[in-house]
Amino acid sequence: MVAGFVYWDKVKNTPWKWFPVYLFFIFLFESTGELLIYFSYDDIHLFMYDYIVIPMQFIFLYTLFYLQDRNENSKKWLIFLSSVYFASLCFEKIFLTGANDWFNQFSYTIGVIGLVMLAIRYFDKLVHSESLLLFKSDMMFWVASGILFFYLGTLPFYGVPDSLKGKMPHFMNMYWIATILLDMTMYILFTLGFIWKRQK
Amino acid sequence: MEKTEIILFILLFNLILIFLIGSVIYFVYQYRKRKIIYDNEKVETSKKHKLELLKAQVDGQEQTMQFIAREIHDNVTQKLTLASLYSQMMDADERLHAFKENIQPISHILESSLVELRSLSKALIDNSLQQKTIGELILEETRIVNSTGMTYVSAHIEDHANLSVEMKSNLFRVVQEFIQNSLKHAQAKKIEINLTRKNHQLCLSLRDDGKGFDMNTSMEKGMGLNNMKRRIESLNGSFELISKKDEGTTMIILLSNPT
Repeated sequence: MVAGFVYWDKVKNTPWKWFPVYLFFIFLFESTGELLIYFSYDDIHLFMYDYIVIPMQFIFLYTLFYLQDRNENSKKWLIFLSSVYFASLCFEKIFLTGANDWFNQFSYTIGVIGLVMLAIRYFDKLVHSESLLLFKSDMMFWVASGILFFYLGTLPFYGVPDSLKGKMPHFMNMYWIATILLDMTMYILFTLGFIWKRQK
Repeated sequence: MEKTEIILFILLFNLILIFLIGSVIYFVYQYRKRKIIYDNEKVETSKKHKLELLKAQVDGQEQTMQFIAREIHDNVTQKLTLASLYSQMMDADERLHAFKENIQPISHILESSLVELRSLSKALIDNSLQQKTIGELILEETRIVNSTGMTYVSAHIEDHANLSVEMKSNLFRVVQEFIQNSLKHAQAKKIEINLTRKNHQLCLSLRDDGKGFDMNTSMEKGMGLNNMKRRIESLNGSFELISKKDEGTTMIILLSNPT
């Protein structure tokens, strides 16, 4: 977020200007979330994440991929993945409440799969184009890498039921540290993107 | 149930790990592959560029020399010839008998200057280009190439009209460039050259059985081809190039009312 505003001149005339704004909101929500947990408002915390933070994250990131090429095909992907995500969110809240399913975060898993699909689609395009040679200055490369590493890398951890976490406490503790490291990696990659982005 | 869940979890974890590592390896591999291609193309372009620069320099020099030679022949020599005639007339004039001793050396100097200028003018223009017809030049080139044994060039010359030096020079350079490309890039085994004339139109067709090229790729269009095109356009001629991968290359040049 800080890097985004420091290098504001590079992004102010591009769709990337919304990215530091998005990161600022994430920062606000995360801080609020910590405060809510500290003051034991767990219900509000859960509600905020389930209905505001996580859906906002997915929709924003889907839109970010669409803004890269703004063509009809990308638009279809955006509409399709957003619809599937919202449908899965409704399904989860109506039918899966309290159920001990394999993925206790059904909509989150669907959202992550959507993101991974978009990231793979982006990388596939990149490796088959001349832009591959200039990947370092391509902001989307760093963002997509961050997304792929964090969301895909942490999927098994966030998807696993709490009961299973109790069965493998040592492994899960290590994995928890790994998720924090992946989270940091994602933000470092975003920062690199802002630093190395080439001004058009 | 719990055992299945643990197995599923470990399976998913491993699959994701393998996928991420595989993606990184694949990306690095693709990047290196493209980088090597890019570097090779850069070296190739730079080589072509240098070659073209050299050619342009040689062309420029050739044109300048031809211009100077023409000017010497058409302008300076004519004036000196006139001056020489006047001096000879003065030498023969009885009224100027008293000055005969002075006039004769002038006449000799003028004569020797004329001889020197004519030989300089000839030396500046490639003699063979001036004296031989385009057909003869092509046949001579054919003999030289065939003697190397690298390829077989057959030439069918119907037209033996003498063209201007500029036209002969440009057409001949195009033929040389085509043969050079056929040998160097297309590895042709056979080259056919036809020079015909129909209804005041001179047609030069060049064909090889080499590996051809994809006409849509910018790299292979190259500067050599652009150079040939430029030469033909400078003669107000038309230029058609047909090439397909593994099907050889054909070039047809049409010149209307060439002189």
